[in-house]
Amino acid sequence: MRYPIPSKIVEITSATAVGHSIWLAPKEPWPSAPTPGQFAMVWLPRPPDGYKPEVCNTVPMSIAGWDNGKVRITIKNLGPTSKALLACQCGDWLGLTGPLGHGFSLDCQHPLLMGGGVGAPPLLYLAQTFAAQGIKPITLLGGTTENEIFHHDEFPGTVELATDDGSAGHHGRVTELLAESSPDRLYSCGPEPMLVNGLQWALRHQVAAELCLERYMACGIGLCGICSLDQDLVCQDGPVFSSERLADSREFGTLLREAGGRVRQLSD
Amino acid sequence: MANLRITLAGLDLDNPIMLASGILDSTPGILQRMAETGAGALITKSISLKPRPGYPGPTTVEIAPGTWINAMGLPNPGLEEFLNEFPLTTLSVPVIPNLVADTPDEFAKLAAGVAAAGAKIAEINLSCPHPKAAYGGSLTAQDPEAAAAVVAATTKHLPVIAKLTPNVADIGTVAVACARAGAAAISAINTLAALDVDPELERPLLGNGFGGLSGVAIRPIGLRKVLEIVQALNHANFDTPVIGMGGISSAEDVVRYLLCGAHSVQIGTSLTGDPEHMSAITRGLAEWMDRKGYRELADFRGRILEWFS
Repeated sequence: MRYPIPSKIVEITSATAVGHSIWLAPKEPWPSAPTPGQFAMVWLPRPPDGYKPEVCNTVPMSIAGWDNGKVRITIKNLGPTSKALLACQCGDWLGLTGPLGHGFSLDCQHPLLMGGGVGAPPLLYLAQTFAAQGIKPITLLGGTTENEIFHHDEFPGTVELATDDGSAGHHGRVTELLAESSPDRLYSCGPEPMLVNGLQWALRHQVAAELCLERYMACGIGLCGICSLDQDLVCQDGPVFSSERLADSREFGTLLREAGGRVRQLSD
Repeated sequence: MANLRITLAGLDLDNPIMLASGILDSTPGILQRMAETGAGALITKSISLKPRPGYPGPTTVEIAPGTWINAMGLPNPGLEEFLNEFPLTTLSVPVIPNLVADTPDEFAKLAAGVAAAGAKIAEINLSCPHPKAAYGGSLTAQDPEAAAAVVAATTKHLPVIAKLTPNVADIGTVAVACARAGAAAISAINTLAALDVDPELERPLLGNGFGGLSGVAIRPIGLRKVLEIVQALNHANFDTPVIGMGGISSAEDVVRYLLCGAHSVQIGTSLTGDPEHMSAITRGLAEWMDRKGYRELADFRGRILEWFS
């Protein structure tokens, strides 16, 4: 049943300058571990102290980890609801509908992961899942500055950083680190312009790729259709899509929808 | 082979099974996908004159298997952007815009807009149970005169389907008032006014508080309301077609509505997460008719009515 299961915040961890990670214990545990790349609709049911009731809403968020029934979510301060979620304390209750959507494929011996911004959390869970299978991933993480990159010290395997200000790793874009690589598959999540570059690199080098997309979602469970990408529902058929699928997309990299389904060109 | 074809306000449809408003119809892309499922027609989400962002979440919650409470808040980009983007005339199946407004004048502007853009028929949402507006869709279909006024104002521009709420003492009276005002068809039922509460969180389950109930639990209510509408229209000597909906999740459910006298049906909630389920239902209706030896929908439509004469 697609119901927002009351879930208690049991731990707050991994703070950066722009947010932190929380561990949630659902009152009724999910029946099995989610697949990396799947997401949950996270509900703030009550405003924290000092916040107005208008901040209460649901937000689709990638699953950043799983530990014996506890679900990890990493929150960046991107709007009124996520800002209020960051003000919640251990012991506060949220609602969690999930796991939702289709995640990443795990049949890969030499995975390359590339993340930017809030793209790092689902890749952390993916890297940990690979590591549990004895596979060592290589991860590339990008951000404006070092203390805005989530989880970079938590990834198993090799991690390379890229920062816009040169505060850590390569001084430049994370996609510039792709040049030397020859993986079995590229897994990527983050800002759409980065994903577009990643897709172009993968197509040029004939590397299979799976990209995790973000779209505005009103229901998250395949009812309204506002999150659709061409004829696919990002909440249902995605959020992870293959490079073959995205290579043919008319909307990937060009068109987003906002509340009510209003169109916004990605270049705006 | 069973013949599923029907005519609705002069429009030829391949079959009597339509996509209900508000489900999998928010973008041109998803509407194209639904056209490929074999639906007889596609009703769009409710379109208003100005854009509506929709309500905060949770907007849709499954409270029992197959039964849902929702308050989406009629999210839509507004008439102008809708007309710029949506394929009203280019899909392989008819697209029927659903219109929502607060007053007959606003409804008339919407009807004129979609008619000018090529729509052959529109559905008017007289019955959504949860707009916050003081004089919103929720009240219109609870007052036969107000409902008739909207039908009269819109039907000048194109034929309209009047979508009714079950939240009334006598739905037959409202249906007859709409038919008398010139409605090309009546559709029913919209969701039932509802509220659910989470006991752990001690608050309403939906972001909007109130919502509408849909899914398998409401099917027996929809069947009874459709029967009441059919009886009332017959009694008043109207042959206005009735489009039944509420809790349809299989071909057998379609048959149930047709046996109650529905001319055709709409399906919504049961497609959640499974858009292609529409194809199975359409195929299943033909298979049921073949098994029963029926060639036309008229061979069995309304057979239940004799039990209530």
